[in-house]
Amino acid sequence: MGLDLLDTPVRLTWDFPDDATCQASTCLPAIADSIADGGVFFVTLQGSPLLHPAIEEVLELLGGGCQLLISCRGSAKELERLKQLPLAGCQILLDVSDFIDNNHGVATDRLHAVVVALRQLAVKPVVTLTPLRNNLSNIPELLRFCSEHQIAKLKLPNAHIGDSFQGYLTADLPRWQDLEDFRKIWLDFMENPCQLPTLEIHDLFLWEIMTPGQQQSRGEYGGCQAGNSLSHVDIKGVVHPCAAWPQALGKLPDQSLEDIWSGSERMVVREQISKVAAGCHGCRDLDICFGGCRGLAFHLNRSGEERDLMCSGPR
Amino acid sequence: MNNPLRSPDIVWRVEKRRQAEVLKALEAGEDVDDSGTVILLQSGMMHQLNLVGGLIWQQCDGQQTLAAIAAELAREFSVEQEEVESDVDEFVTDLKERGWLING
Repeated sequence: MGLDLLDTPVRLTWDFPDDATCQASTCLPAIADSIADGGVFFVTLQGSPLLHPAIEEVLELLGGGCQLLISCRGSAKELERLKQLPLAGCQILLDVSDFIDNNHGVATDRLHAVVVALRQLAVKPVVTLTPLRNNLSNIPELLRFCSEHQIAKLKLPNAHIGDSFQGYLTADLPRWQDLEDFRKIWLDFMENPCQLPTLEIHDLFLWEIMTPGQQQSRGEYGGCQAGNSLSHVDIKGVVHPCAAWPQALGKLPDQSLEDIWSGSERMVVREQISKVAAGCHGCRDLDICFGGCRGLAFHLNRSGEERDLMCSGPR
Repeated sequence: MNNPLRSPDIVWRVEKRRQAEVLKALEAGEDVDDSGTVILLQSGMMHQLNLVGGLIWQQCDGQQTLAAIAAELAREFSVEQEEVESDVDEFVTDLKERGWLING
């Protein structure tokens, strides 16, 4: 049975950019209240939420009913803030993008120091990296780091682009050609692999390379959940179908999540998703990937007839 | 006790708007077997239960016997308890095998 249209999202990302917009935003507690009222199960505070002055109030408002995942970029200020916050039940996502340089690889010494500091706070971080063109080749080195440091999970989410691409340039996003290069790097790595952490890979084509022969494990995947079980909220409370779909559906706290989810804009998005992308017709694997990341594909791959950016073409 | 109890590892909620729509469709004589009214998440995977399954699920608090759950379901749908007992039993057995329900 496929997943029907839900009353409100189940998983939601909420962006906290590290800039003046974030610091100046005063309605965060009201937005948090709206999210909690919406019955969302999992809320990921991404960007630099620990640097926001209202973070403690936000955690208190959301912590009662939602499971919280909090992004941390490993800065000294964030580590200091973590000491002061009530984090029971929260999962810390250590975003390692600042520790990776295309020329020098993973800054393992600096990253080691952060992992040690987090462990001293009794935090067992999930390591997270948004795969981009310039860091795909560093994934094996990052996996070796995770193995050496007994990191239980590595998460590779899709790029969140929001309304303004949030600092990612379109050119940063990996395409299928990059994935072909990565496939060779991955095969080399697998000749001498390490103990792998649990992998959470959002892009289906990257997942396919990194977890070969595991198609059954996605047997219940029913396709893109943007605007259904997934949602994304920006720092001003503007609600999007997901972090990779730059379209406003409504605004918290002016509207409730339930009202936004019953609105016509959301229904239009679900209608778009229900149609098979033109570039996917006739593909034998369509019932495995269901078109992949429809948000990125719809907005950035019109010449590829809206196929997932990392898909090389119908099979 | 062997009363069915929802696994604490599962998060779930009733889709109230959806449930109201399904009840309306049922009154209109439509087939609602494939329409979800309760969603649950187990090990990161999302599942949904239809109207009957969702009503049984909500009763599985570890306090209700299978007979009591069947009686409540029969009352809800204005049928005899005997008509739903085997359905309840089958559903609960299936969910126990999946680990979604445990013995309360």
